[in-house]
Amino acid sequence: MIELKNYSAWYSSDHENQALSGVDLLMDGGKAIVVGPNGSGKTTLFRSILGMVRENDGTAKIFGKNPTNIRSELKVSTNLPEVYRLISGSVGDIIEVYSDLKDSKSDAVYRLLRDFGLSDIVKRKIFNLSTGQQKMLCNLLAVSFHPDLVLLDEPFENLDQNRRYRYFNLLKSLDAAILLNTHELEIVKKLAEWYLYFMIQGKLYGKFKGSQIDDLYITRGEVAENISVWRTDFGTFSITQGEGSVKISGIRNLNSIFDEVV
Amino acid sequence: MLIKYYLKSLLTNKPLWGWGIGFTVFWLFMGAFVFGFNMTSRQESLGYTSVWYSIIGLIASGVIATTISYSVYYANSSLAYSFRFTKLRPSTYVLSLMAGTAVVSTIIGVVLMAVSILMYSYKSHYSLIPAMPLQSLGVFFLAGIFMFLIAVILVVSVNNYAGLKSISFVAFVPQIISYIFAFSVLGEPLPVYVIYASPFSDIQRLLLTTYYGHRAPININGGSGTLLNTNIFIVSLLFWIVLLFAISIILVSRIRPASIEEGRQV
Repeated sequence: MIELKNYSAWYSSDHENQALSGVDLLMDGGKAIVVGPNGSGKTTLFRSILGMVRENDGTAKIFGKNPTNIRSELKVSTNLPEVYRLISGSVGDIIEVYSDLKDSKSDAVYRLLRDFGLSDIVKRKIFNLSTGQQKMLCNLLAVSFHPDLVLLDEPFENLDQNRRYRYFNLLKSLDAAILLNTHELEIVKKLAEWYLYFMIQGKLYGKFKGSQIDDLYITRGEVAENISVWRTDFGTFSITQGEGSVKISGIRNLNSIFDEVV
Repeated sequence: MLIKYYLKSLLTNKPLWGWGIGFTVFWLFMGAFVFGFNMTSRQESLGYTSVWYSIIGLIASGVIATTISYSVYYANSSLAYSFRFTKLRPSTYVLSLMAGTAVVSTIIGVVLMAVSILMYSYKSHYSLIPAMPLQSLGVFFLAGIFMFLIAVILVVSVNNYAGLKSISFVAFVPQIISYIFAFSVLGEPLPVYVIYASPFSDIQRLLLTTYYGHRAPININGGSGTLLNTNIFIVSLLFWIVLLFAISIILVSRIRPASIEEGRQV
């Protein structure tokens, strides 16, 4: 389904700013979550899987094909907002266009909008929506067209508690492979049955199970009983099970993970 | 399906109507009421009107190209995604938007034609109805297609190979060329091969001919010189459309996603 081998990506053509470094990822269905601080490369990872990163090296495949050359693969879906800018119309227009392009009916999208209390946005233009409404619209478009694989970039960001709860349940019941990223550790605890990866400074570590999160510790240096070693600009850190310096699930803010350990 | 919503978005695009209609109607007004319009016969008045109509028609078409350029620029990532993960094909996209643009261009043509008839007839006291109105609207239809294709080619080329920093210049290139060719008729005539080969002058000369009802002379300003062959203008414009259509399909199918932030100037 998704295969990345020694995959690297850069933000610019001069290869000065590296976004991903030697990423290996094999996903054959199921549901997985990638957790990492802001700016760690999570969104670039998703763009890479979709073949939408210009400067890259290594192997990337989606359903066995190079994503840059793939055509009309309707089973893949995402909530990345930039992919829903084909026309400058109302939300309703965008729903109709993408339903048609995905060979699907628009009824399911309207039903979901109603369930999430967003029926009133249909006649409005996307740029007139709040950040949370835009996010929710893209989240719903991503799951509406019978996908086999859904890539969800920070789907819970800017959502209120009620919509978060509803969307959690929707994702849990969705009959599709899901790869979701977030910078919130709380979300991992709620998706305990999902596989878990960490994205740190452009490198992907895993896989773990979400249910392990309360049992994972991070310790500075390379310790003997590690199950993963993270080599970062802040030094080397070991992930251990059962004991260690700092319990990962206890870290208040993933953006300052190394500060808390150091 | 795409054409329906694209057309809707073009028809509700205020800048397009402001610049494509409002601004050009202003120039038609200037031509009728401010600049020297003191013709003594209907034929002279019709000639004068058809020159202004052809100048303004070409400029209005150039305005459409600018609108299209920004539309494609904002959609670059959506297109890259849609060709991969929806059933949208590059040819469907180009044909749908090309048809939508041609329809909008024709509607603009209807408005400009109506305004020209009203203003210039009122001013001259002659009935200055175009000799071939349907053919004239056909020229607007072809002008819409041409302007769409050239806008797409310029924007996608910049998007894929040069970076979007220059987008705000590139979006105006067809409009700038339209201005140059439109107002060039007021000066010394261009070489005849340029007049025939340039799709911009093809559009203008065809608009002039369909309004005036007679072949356009090489020197429009002086109303003198060899009468040019209308069929060559049609063939030349169609040739450009076919050529640009093929190039646009190739380029659009290779569109590379880029951040629209790259186009930010300051």
